[in-house]
Amino acid sequence: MRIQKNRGTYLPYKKEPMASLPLLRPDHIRQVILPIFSEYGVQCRLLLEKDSPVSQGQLLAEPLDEKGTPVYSSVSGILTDTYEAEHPLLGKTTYAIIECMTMDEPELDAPLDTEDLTAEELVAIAREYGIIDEIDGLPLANKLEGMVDLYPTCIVADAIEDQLYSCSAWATLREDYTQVLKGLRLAARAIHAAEYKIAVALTRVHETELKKEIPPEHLQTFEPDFYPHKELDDLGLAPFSIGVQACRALYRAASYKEPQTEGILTIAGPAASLPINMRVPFGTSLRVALEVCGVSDPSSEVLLGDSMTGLLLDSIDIPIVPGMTCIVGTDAVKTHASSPCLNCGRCAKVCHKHLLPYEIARRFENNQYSGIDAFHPSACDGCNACSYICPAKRNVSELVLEASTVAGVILFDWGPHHDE
Amino acid sequence: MIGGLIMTNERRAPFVHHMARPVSLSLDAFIALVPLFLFSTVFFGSRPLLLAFLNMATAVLCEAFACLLLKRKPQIKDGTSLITALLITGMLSPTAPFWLGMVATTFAILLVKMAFGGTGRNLFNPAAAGIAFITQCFPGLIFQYPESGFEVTNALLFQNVSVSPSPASSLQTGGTSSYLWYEFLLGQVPGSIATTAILVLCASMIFLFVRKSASPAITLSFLATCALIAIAFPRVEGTWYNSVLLELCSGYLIFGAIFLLNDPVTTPNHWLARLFFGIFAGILVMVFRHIGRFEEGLCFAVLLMNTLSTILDRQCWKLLHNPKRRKEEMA
Repeated sequence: MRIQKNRGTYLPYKKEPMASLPLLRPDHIRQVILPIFSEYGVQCRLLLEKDSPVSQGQLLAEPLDEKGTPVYSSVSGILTDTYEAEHPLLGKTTYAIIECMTMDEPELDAPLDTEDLTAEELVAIAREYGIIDEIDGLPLANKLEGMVDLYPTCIVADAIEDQLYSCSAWATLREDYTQVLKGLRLAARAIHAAEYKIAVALTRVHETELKKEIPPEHLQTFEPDFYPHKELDDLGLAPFSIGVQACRALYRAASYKEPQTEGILTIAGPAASLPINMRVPFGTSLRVALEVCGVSDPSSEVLLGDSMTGLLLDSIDIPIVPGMTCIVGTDAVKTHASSPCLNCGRCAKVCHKHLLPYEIARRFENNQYSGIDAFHPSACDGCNACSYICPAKRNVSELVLEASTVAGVILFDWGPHHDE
Repeated sequence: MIGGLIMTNERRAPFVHHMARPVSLSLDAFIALVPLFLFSTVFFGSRPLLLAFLNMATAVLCEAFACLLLKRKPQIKDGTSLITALLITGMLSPTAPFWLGMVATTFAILLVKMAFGGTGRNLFNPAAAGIAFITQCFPGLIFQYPESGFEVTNALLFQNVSVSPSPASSLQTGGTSSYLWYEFLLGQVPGSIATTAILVLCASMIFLFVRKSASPAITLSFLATCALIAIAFPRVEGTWYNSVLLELCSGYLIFGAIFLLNDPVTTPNHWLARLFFGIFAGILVMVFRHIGRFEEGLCFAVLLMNTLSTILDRQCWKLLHNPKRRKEEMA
């Protein structure tokens, strides 16, 4: 059953043809660059010497403390070198370069029985096999441990992709819905939750496709093309949501003892001539993945994340890491100048937090910092719906977020030219 | 531009924008105004179009001049000054001298719009202020309406026009009106260029409601308040619906309810604030009609209400989204 939506705006449907095409697995990856990294700001200890051979799924680095996440090699090859560099998601970290020799699909043994695993064992499996939730890039084991203390009744696999292009969760589901559902069941057992649901916002065609496969009691559907989807917050389920790729990885770790070494990401956008969902080993250079999709024009800009909340990348020579699910290549289009606020009130109509963005922005621009507090700019979660809808093309959400940092502050700085 | 979206490469999210531009707000009002002007050419020949053209040219020149003084790039293409000029023309008599509309437009653009900082920053509705200005300065010229059906054959000459009292003035003087209900609907009564054809106005109103450029909360609450006051304090003899018909269909009432009260810049945005805005504006209009010096006081009511719109907006938001409670929830 579809649930009544909150405030927001409709986006045009741009998920085709990615949502209908099968997954692509590039086969000519020569090199992967794996971050030796367990958590934000915490490094791992590399276990191998330089120039030593590694096989796919071999433990490459182990965490320094027992709560950390280990790193597994995503390909078979030779570890040639290590170096340090910046990553837009991970910060400064060490990378291990592995020259890839073969890229065969690993042969799987018969699945192990997962029925007898206890909650503690499941969390330990999630930690041991380095499973990272792609929704927020946090280790799944730590997330599950945090959920247990809240006594949840339901766990949700968040496959709502409310933004413009991303459909990697749908691709993961479509590839093998049973593995996702079984993994979600294991996750539910790990946190002692009675119910488990997959939340999706799909078109009717895809929804019927999914309804044939997944029993209705494990499916929660929402309106497609709507942004932002905050119904999980309204239902109180947002703290108990995990990604579908993490569910799949948990199942495969528990049944096949296979570490999470691959991720599924959408590469789309106006600059991509072949927009598609692809499964790539972690550590693959983003440049290689983009070339497969035809984003090779040097003038095109690349966004990490989707177009509503994404991050503009300075360089595309970065490795793909868990947590990257959507890449958008845009043409270099001329920037649209913003004009003064028309007071049309559309930003207030789409704000799912029921704020008055135009009023906050006006007060912020007029330096009325003391009065801003009454309009609660701190409630803004930066969904950018107000900036999207603004006819004057003002970046309202940026002003609101900046205003939230100065709420209640009285500044005595009269601007840069006050002493001239 | 990709189907319904504008992709930008600003350095910060969102990287897509909705198609709506400032000009699309003006465009809706323009489309709603065009049939009114075409309708009035049926009665008065080409003179209304000539007036409109002159006022629009004046508006563009005034805005360009003000931008020259402010050393700013003119933003004429957002179309707001053209709409102001059209609204002013719509409230003029078909036989008004050409300079009258130009004076009103100059006042509206230079002193009411650009002096406050241009589009989006004006405190008062420029069109209402322009008309209020010429109402105060030239009361003898503004309410001189020709007999309906009088065709101005020569658009440049308008001598020897037989002036007849408009329904609004007959309401003020206390006489009975001799017009029938269908004459009001078809615009066969003396009045200004765009304000008499009630049926066309209603079509424009529905168009703007559908496009969400006008708010039913303002327009309908305003009209309902006016109708209630007309029933409670009738100014004509006869049945109550006769009084409602005369009050609503005379003067600028419906025209103002659609176009002046729905200017996005100077009206509140919250639905409750809009409701109050419409009700208060209705009360003010009727008060001005009952005790005012002029036969039509809508522009003064609109200007007075413009000063209250921000306060109404804020207080209604606080009323519904009680900030204290929210603070406690967050704490």
